[in-house]
Amino acid sequence: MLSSDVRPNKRSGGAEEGIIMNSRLSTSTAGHRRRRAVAGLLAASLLAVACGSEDEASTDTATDSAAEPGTDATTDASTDATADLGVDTIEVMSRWAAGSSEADAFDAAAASFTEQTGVKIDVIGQAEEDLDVIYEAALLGGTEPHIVIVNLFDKSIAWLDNGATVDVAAYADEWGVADGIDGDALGEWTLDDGRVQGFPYSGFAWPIWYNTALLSDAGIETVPTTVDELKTATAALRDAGIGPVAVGGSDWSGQKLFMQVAQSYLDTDTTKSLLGSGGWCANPQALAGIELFNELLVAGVFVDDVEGFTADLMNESYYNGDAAIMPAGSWAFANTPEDVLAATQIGGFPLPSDAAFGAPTVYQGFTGVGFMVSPRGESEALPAVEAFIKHMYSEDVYGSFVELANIVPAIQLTDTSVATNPLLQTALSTDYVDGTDIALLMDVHVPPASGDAVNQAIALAYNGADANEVCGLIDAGY
Amino acid sequence: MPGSASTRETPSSKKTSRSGRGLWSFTLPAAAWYFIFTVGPLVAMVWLSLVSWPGLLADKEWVGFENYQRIWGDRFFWQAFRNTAIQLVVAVPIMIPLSFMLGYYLSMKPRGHRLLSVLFFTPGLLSITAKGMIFFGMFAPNGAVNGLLESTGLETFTRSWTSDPDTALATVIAVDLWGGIGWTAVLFAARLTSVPTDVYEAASLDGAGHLRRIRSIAYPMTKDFVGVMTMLQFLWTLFNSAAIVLLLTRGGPAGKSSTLSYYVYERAFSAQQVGYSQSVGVVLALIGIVGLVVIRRTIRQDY
Repeated sequence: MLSSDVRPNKRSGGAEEGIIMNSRLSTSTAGHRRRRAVAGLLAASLLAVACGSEDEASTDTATDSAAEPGTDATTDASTDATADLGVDTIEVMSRWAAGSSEADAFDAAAASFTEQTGVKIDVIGQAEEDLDVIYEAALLGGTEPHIVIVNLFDKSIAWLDNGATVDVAAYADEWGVADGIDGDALGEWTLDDGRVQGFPYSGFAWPIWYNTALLSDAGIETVPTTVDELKTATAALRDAGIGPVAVGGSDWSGQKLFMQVAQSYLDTDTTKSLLGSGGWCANPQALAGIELFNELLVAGVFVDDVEGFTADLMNESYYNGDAAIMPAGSWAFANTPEDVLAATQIGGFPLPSDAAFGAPTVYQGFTGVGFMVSPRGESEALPAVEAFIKHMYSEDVYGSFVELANIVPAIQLTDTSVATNPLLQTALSTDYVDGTDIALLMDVHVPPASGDAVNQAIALAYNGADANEVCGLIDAGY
Repeated sequence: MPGSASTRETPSSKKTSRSGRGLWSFTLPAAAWYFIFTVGPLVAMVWLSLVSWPGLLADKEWVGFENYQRIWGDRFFWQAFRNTAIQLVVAVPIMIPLSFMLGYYLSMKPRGHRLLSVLFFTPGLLSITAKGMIFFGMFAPNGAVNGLLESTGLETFTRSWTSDPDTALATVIAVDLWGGIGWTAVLFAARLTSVPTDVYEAASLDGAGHLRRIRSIAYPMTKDFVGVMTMLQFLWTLFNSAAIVLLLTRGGPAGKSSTLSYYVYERAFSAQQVGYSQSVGVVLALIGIVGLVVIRRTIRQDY
């Protein structure tokens, strides 16, 4: 099963106007330099993780090594645990599915928090698809959890404006957490007016996975970087009896890939505008992007019956060697079989010759998972919430998440170790950053009211509908 | 004259008055429950259909009949309407006759009829979620249906059943039929066992076969019950399809398998247009009432 902590877009969601501006998703040169700088920081942080985290999950000693300037976020809450935290239990609702590596890491972190402070962590709900609905229903009944661990996506984007969660800007500063959080990560969770929706905990890298062994079996020795190369590889793979690109044509994974291809000829601002208010049919470059998708479909780039595939089936096909290529995020790094891991090279989706991007595209960001505080959490259990947040950002706990769950960190760690997962190492490497361009993720830009219609149109695209019908259906949703 | 028999309270009227009060005291709790939890939500639904409510946490704004005006131009509503009509026209006429004949067979108490009854009733005991997951797997590209087709040399008929615009709605209807035929047959069997067997014997002596007995004896004698079951299946199909659609197809692709029941859910919880979803709900309720009246008038006992 996929680990799902950083899966931000189960359905196309949307943002209220003027919410998060993700500066990291810029395709400018400045954006490249910034990405390299952040990648360097994150890579250094990963060096901290693997060596230091094994024996430190439940001890206080890790805090001693974290006492560096600018790392206020890593203060161990256990040293403050002697204060009365006011409640015996903190209630948490989590999007980390039971049994996932993230949930396991969280359970360990919760146990160590309880051991240090005596305050229990009660996970009253674990849900992926319906967490937002469940939380809202609980809120209306006055029984919402103190903390909700959630994607910044769809309904959760509007929670701060609707009073479903509280502004944590002041708390992030007071608690000393803000300084340790990556600036871009915090930026993605900050509204234009400075309010902060939650504490970002993990980001995501969302590359294209290429099984180089299968490609080699088909006579393809290099990963395709252009559409023409992809079509050549497709023909060779099919001749060898290997499926080309597997993707969940009926769910969120296919929706994201469709949008990734559809924006091939668009700049970021135009894409943002189209996602937010429609007008795809009227924009020639947008229409050309949809036509490109159709062209790839007709060329057999996607596996047979792709319209019926789900993300789980996509992973299964890739892991079993039935497909050579798939788009999957960093949440899948941890669960990849060893032999597939060894053969996998990650990169961007190939570009057409006149694309608006300079390099094959990937998705990347920090809206994966964060901690939001509920009104009940603020009014009833703030000291305990503070202690818990600090505990989760402590180096030993955070390190265990990076090591066990391969999350893309949203904070700066000072302890250095070697990263355990090669794909995660690659995703943070300079070569990867330089060799890819970031596409705009649809989640925070498509309004909730239009999301379902957009998804339905994309489903039709995977069934081979022509570009005009698809763009018409997308626009009809706005 | 005062105290005449016509005005004086008699012992029988006292008894009637006491029994009337007794009847009310027993009925009042149930009536209160009904009004609070059935009539109340219906009234709330109508009221909410007159407001704009963009999400459970947002404020409501009075818009009058604007939501209803919007329905007329909503292509997704009319697509769901068409799909619902297809679903009803296909599922109910198939389910009722088939389950009636199956029920007749069970009422004849053939060998193993108890085991058959259990087998036929079991789909009705499965939760919607279990049913949805079973058939989601069966209809998947690598699922049992395609596997069976491939193993029998019919690879050309394999497809993504729940994602193909031509078959998505059919998969929803198929699950309805699978879950409803056997269960309804057991209910019919229970009613048909009360038909006197000597009537069947007399008919068989006159040379009537099973089909003739079903048409001329079993059906006429249980027509009222058939009407009730038809009405119930109509209502269940009309109002309860949202869950299976959500689990199997999510109304896709492009609304090809969306039904009115699912559309109410989708507009409320996915699109966050709660007020508009309730206006669709009111239309759905009216369709249900009209259908209910038509069925009851059409299929009723001929005494």
